[in-house]
Amino acid sequence: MLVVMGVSSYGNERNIYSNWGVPLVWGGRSDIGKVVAFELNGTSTRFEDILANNPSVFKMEGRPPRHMFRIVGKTCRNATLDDILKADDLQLYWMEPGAFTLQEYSSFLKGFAPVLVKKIQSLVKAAGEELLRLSKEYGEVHRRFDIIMNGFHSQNDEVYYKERLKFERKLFDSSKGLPLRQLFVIAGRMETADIKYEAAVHAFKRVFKEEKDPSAFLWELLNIAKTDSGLAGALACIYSDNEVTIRMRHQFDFPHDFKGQTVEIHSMQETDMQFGVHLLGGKFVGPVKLTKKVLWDREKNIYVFGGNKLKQKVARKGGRLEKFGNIIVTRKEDVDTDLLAIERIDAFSCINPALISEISNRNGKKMAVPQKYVDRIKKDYRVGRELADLALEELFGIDPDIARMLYRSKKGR
Amino acid sequence: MTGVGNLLGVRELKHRYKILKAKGQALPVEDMGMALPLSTGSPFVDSMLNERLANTPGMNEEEHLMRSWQLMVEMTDKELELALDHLDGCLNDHKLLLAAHLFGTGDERYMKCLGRLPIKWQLLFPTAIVKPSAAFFTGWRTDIRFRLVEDIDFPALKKAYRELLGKTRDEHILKFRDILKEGMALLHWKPDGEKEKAIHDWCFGAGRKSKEIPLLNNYIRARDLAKTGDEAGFKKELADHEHKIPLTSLMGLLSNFGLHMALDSGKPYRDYAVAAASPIETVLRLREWGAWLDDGQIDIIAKKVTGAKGLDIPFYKVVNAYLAIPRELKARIFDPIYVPLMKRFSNQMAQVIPKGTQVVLMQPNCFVNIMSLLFLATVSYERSTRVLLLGEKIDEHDDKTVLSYGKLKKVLLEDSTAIQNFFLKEFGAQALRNEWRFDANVAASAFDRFTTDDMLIIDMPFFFSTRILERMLPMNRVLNLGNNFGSPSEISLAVKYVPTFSVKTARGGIWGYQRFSSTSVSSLAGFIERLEWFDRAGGENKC
Repeated sequence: MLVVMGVSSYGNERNIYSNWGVPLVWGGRSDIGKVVAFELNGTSTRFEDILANNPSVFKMEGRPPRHMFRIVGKTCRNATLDDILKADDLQLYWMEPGAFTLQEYSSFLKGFAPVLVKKIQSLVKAAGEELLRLSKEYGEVHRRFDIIMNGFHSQNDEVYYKERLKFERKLFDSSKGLPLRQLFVIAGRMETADIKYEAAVHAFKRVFKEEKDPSAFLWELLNIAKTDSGLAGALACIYSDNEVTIRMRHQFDFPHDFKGQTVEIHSMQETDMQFGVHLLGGKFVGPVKLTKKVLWDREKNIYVFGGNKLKQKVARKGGRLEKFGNIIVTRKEDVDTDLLAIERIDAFSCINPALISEISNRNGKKMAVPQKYVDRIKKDYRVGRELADLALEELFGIDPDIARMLYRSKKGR
Repeated sequence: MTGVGNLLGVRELKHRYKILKAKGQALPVEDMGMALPLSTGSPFVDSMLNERLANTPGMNEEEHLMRSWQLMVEMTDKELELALDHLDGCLNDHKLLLAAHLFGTGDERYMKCLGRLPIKWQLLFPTAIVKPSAAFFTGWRTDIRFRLVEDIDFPALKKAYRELLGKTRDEHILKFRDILKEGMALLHWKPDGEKEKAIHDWCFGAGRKSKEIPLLNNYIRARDLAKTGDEAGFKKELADHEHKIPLTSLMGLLSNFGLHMALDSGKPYRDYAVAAASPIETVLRLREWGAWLDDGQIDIIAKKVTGAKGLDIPFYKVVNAYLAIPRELKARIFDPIYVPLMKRFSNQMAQVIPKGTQVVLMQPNCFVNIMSLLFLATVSYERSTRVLLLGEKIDEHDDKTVLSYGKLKKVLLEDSTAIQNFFLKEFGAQALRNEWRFDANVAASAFDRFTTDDMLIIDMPFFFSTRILERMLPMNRVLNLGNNFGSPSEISLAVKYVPTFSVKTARGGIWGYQRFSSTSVSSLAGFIERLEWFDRAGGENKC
């Protein structure tokens, strides 16, 4: 008989879930309990016996205050166990790595596998009503088999991970003194996250100490990482380390590789410049500063550092940049430009309604603001909304509330 | 809420709000600075106390500005007196706006409004008169052409500005260069006297004529050294300073060198930064500085924060800073910084929750694990909290546990195992519960266990029942950590819930939420602070 049950620890106590399910803790605490399985001899075993026979799993020291542990002392009825094993959702259970050793799985399967094979053989031979009956029996056995195999896989992974960790730790310790490029490549090949992170941070710290021009060195690595995903992973580790992050932010200066070309930019969005993701594919105008605000053309992957300078450059050539929330708009026939105009109408309507007459739509149409509105708004600011609604309908033909919702969501307010 | 002295209490303030709301004179709760359905009875005073000139779900910043302005234009003398008497509780943007309005009407009392503003806001005064968009808005809106004061008395404005410049301290000249520059440009300023000339040169020239302003002199020398990259000279220059360069300017200079305080090379600058920072700056930088602050530096910060100037820092800002800092630092700053400020807040809270009052925290028994110890400790300072756990049956209610600050303090900074053991010791098996069946009648029966004068904190989200509302009606003090039941004396603090998953079918659904209950301390602090001012101003306003 296979018994599956949930165990959780709380404080220094351990307790068992009565509901045999994955404990969904409503409200916040969501520590999913450990699930263990026990192969029992016979079906008459009581719950207390399970507790008593497995002292390493269940520790109940002394009597806790007030009424405690509804479970303790409860006899586990055979019928309940059968229900659980027959339940369709039994496959939801899994076994925590470490619940059993690989040897224990192996010896369990030694006895269990022939039963499974026997069931399969009789199932293959059967037909008619016999087939229906046998396939139900087979289903039950198979569910148990699934649980065991899941447990086996996770335990196997655990063992593999531990061995790999040992191996990589040794590899890392012996390669600490290697030249930096090799060290980064090795860090990129590490499978265990801890060692990979440790190796990458170690390598980054060495970059600051040893390289004359750390920026140029990292730039070279980034270019290699464009085709080397392992190395890219290692380079991405830096933001977990405080010291490295600060050094990158203050002591690095990346080359800007985008000079003497003319590009047409439609709209640029403000974003934070991050190491790795952004640097790998982008083209840069202006000196790159990490974690600073930067304008980004998503379509062409162009970054502009120093938005104000861009504004002045465009202005000198007779163009005009419209700033809308965190987006700069350069093309007139653009939804963003429309939204900007809509937002301006809303802003002007209650503080200086006459300014609305200067706003035009895509066709160049303007609206003259009736004087009666200007007078009324002076007395009651709420009339401004009426005027704004009117202007939006007149110029853009769009429902004013939808328009407001659109630009608010665009600005991420 | 029964008032203390001649104050009004939540019940009356809420009643006044509802009346004004019905007349269309009060803002919806979501458009207020802090979502509190309270009113002094005067829309103008309410706006001074709790309307921010910023975007809210229902209104733009321009609409807020014009609403406040129109309320000022239409205010009565009595309302103005009331606002002037409670200026310390008014929001800064509104104080500036009121000063602008009074200046426009030739009322000398605008000086009183200005005098109660932080220096940064005072320096914005000419901008608020001449180009209000630059003073009250941000982004592209700063360039909108409009004026609030139609006929500006420029000679009077210049006179006031001259007085202001005369008393502006050196570090503020350094800190608020942009504001000074804008103000001077708008007034076509002609400097008179050495100090003014130095300020003018600092704004529009290279700042070399700064002999009158020693701090500026220091800064410019340090900046020159930064330009040449002479770090040794820079260090020496800083060490010789009698006046400290403001923190933000110092950080700018350091980053010119590629230095950072958190790195090895930053060590000499840390003491300087801690000494130079203002009390509020130290609180806001705790998280950033957490990695390197030593005990001596923490002492200096503690002295600043608990000193005379530090008393102005609202407690909710301290709580937010405290919640954001790393765990190790929490333990180190709890006694020197958090406790004195919590003590001060507790005195403030005594206005509405007298010391010695029994506080009852009512919650389903499965909530033991998600209640906020910080919240309880803050509330229980000088008042014990009885925890009333609601059972699924009437005889399962459990109110045996009384938590005092002394008890809570021991586990506040412990790890989760210690906290769980504390819960096991205090609440027994209740700590292990993870499910609770809502039954309105059973929950309502728990009200038999305390009196109407006790302070009730109720934590029962996602559940509404008229049975509970019925029992809550006679209560005088109710703080709700979940959704509002609608009782007249009840205030909702709205703890933050973040949905993690949801499964919904025709037969029913399951939702999972993560909750951040410690932020309730910050809401409580903000609420108590606003309530105090509403109570004072409302008490003097006969409706």
